[in-house]
Amino acid sequence: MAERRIPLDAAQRGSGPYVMRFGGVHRWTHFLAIISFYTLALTGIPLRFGCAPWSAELIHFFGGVERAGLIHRGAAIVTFLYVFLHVGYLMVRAVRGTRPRDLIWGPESLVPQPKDAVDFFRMWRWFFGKGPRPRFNRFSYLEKLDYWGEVWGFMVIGGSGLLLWFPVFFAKFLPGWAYNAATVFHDYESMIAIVFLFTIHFFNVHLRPDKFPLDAVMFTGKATADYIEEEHPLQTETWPRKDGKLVPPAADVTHAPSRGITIFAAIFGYLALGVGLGIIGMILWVLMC
Amino acid sequence: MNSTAQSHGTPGPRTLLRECGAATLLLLLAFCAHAAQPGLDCIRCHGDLELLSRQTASQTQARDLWVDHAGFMASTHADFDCTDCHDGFERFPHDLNAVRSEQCAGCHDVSGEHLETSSHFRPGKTVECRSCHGLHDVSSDVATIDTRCQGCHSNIRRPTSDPHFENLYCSDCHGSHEMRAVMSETDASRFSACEDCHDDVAEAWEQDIHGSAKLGGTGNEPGGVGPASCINCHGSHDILPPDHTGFALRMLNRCATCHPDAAESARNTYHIKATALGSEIVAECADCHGAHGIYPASNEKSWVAPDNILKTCQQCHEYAEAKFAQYQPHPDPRSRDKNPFVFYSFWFMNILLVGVLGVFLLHTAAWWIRIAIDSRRGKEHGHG
Repeated sequence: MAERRIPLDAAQRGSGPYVMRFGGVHRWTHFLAIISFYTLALTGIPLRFGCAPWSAELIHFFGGVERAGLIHRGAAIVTFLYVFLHVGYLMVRAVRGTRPRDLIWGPESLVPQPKDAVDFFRMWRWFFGKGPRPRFNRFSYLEKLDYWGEVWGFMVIGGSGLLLWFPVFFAKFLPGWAYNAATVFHDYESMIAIVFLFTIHFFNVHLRPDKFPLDAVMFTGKATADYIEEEHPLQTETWPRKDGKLVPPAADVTHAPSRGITIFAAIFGYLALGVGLGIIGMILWVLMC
Repeated sequence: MNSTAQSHGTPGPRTLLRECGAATLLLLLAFCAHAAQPGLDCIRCHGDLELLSRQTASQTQARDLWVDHAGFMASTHADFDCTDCHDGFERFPHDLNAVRSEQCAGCHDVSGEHLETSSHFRPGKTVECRSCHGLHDVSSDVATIDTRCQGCHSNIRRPTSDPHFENLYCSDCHGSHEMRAVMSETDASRFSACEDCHDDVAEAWEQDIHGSAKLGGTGNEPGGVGPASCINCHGSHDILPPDHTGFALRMLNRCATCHPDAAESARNTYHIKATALGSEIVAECADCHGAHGIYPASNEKSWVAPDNILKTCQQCHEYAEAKFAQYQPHPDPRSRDKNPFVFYSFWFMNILLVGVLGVFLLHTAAWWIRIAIDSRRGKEHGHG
């Protein structure tokens, strides 16, 4: 194939015209999510694993507990910002979009649907060699899990975090034990989020052998038609073929990602993967804490 | 000198020099005799280390026999004769014995100084007067004696972070002859050493649970012997001032030695976690419980008594209201009785954590294995 191939980005492998998978708002939201989540995680885990040999070093790096706390709250503001950005985006699409119903149901929607449950069980059947690999549409159940996990995580961690940030204010309405509960929620949900994202999400999206080492589609927004067919076959089912090559709908077709954005995506992606796996390593180090 | 010259006729320059020298020596001897310097005969040998070295088998032996004459002359014993303390030199070599403390007691009466409880005069572990006061350069100067303590107690480090070492001598806390272990469990005068300077603190401590409670008691009996004295919390030879970095953290660990459950439960709170990582402004034990006026919550004087706790919270959380003080600073999420809501939150999050991560880590592992099997078989692992 004469296609320009940058094999390190799984979304740029294979042939076919490039398809727009994630728009600017999606990508900016995800970018801000990474920036804020990593900052929150790195400034938070020294407190969570106070007995870890690295916790004092990490706190020192951030300039002490108080400074780390300030940075943590700053990153929390970024989280609230991108959540507002996302909610605003959904509202604009619901009010002014051409097909608002797509948000709530159907292949374009992130709302869990019966097919997702079926796919989940079929996936297990495939793992055990008892059936074919399930064919996903635009969003597989794993991507919906990522999305709703983020929604749930934001509500639990963000809510409990606000409570702990402004205890005196919230104590006007809430009983004192709410802070004890908030600490438990903040602590456990952050652990779920960190471990989920840096192992399960990393594997599903980047590290599994057929995608290794990086899928930068969430950074560049663009993927080859072959990639879409591989990962989301139901999406390409209706696409016609010309000379054996998929022809995506004209509205979805876009140019290849620029060299600059590709290099940025690769550097940023590897950095994020490295730091994320590093955090998992640090947690494993003190699992007995 | 003139008369000498006359009696011998006109002297030659050499003779004059010799006779002048002899006369000078005579004058010197006469002066020495006049000064009646004690023990001069002894010093002739025992003040000459070179001579002693030649006469004895080893340098150590020579040193043992040597007398620091200059030191002796500067000491309070300068007027003494050697024989005032030493005996047994009728023969040579002398069956000279080192001076024992009993001989000192002939002049120095220290019988009123609790020697019977002194750690220096325990049977079988007798420290001689000379060990601290010196051999011939005897001194009662505390600064001089202080340097000698190190001779035996070299294990006592003297960190510069402990202000006591810069301002006090060993004997200021331990006494001079009674040599008490400060704050020992059996000593009735246990905290008098600290009290000398820290009398306000000692007064508060005497009243509070640490100073007055009987071990195993409810903490409200007066007049008991308290379970925690100054050194239990502050340490002995590495005492930190309260504004020193790490003071709070060290106190936390000291509290934890007797209150493991309270410490363990508090360790899961932001207060103690941040303190443990070096925060100087977040609350630690003493910020809520007080330092030298600690009482159980059932005592109305306690900072954490129901009537006082809000005021205690308000030290940091200025605008806190009544509900705020319901926060449990020593939470035990495993106890349903203490707080069912926290208990159920804890279990809900545990189940969620194990459930979500368990299912999807298995999912991940199974996926990986599937891909590995398929690629070994050389099969396209694709769909359909």
